[in-house]
Amino acid sequence: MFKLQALGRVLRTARITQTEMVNVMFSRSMNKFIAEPEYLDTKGPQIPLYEPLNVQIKSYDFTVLEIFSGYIHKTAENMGIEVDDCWASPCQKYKVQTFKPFSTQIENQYNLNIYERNVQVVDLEATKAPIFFHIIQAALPEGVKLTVKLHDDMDEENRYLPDLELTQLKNELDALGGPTVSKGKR
Amino acid sequence: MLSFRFRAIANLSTVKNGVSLSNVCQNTQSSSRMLYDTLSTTNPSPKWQLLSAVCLERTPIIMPPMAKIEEEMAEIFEKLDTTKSLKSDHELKQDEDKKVSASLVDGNQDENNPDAATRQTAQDFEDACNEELNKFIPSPRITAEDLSGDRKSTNRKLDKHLLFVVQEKNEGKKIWKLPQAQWINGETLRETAERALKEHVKTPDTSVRVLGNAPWGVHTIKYPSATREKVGFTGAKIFFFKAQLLSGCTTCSNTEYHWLGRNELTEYFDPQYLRSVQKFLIDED
Repeated sequence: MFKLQALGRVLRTARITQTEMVNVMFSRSMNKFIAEPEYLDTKGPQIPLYEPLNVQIKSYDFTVLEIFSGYIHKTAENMGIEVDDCWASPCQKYKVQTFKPFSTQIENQYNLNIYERNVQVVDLEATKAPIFFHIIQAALPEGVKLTVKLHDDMDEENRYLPDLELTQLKNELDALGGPTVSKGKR
Repeated sequence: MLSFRFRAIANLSTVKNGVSLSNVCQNTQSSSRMLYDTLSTTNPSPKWQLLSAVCLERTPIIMPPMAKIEEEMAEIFEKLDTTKSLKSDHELKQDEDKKVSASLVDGNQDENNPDAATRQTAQDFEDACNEELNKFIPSPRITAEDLSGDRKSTNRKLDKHLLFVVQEKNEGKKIWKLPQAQWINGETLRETAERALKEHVKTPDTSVRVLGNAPWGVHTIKYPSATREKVGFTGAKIFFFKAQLLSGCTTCSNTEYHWLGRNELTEYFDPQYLRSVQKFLIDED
């Protein structure tokens, strides 16, 4: 470990930028234990980085979906890509009705749920991105839809289910004439 | 890798300070080249012809069949899951129905549940569902093109990748290779690759997705000394770009093309070329 640190110091004093392999060796577990001077990072990242990206997977079958979201996380970690957050958005429920021909009599009714998982990936290097997406796409299980998009505010909002009781009470309050203004302390 | 880096550091004394590692690499190459030149009388720096090729793939449409071990594991997991699981709504309803039908047989409960006999039992529901399932016929895994061996269509080998391969006639010899084009000064390598694709495929823009701006692989060809003097280049470097077929595309009529599976590539490609190409293709059985 000390030889590697010495190597790092030699490379830095000669102002040689670290190669990819040395970068990975240092960033894995030893990054926190090396005291590096801050002026080395002032130039900024040498490879252009992406904004936070959401890798979104949707499926009707949530067991497959959960295991695959774990696979995405593991692949990202193995490639040295930082995974910021991994969450499940509430499912979208669909009621599908098929009718008998030329009538409104219901022949069949199905209740389908589309489950969703999101893996947020941060500081993805532009050189690694196509490889990462290609690997995930090649490993897609059946019935899973993959989307990769920039993080939106709507993605954050969709995580939370609306509290119907609260909105109902608020509506009632508005109907009665709004909240009373309490006379606070002066 | 480590030994190379130490050699680079050894060369530091001959190189000025404040030089990035890439410069050090080039300097070691040029210093080794200069050493070579003092020993022989070839040109100082080798010139390469740059070409860009497109590796267009039709990605798999259906899942490959399970291997034997996967099938066995799936069976074991299913048995485990069913023994550990609790009863679903449907199964609870079936139990209820059994109790009701048992009490009907006794003849006591007629007053409480007058319409018990006419109620749709869970079993009826299951039978109706099974009937509907049997009416559904999924498309066959092995298509007609699989059986006929038509290598020009993309409708075969649905669970594997298919690679787009083109035949070129070079000085009378017909060589199979990925569609390639010469690099023109002023365009990026990716643009060269897209141009190569357009020569052979009619509607490339929306139906083909090129992955990334950087090449996925490289193949170097060193010309023999006769062609070297004639052409003025030591050889050619072909950079490969990966692309995926999104929807159907029509190929130009004058190109001779095939869509090949992985194991068919060995019959078509030159072994050196095949090795360079296989380095960036996704592994398949």
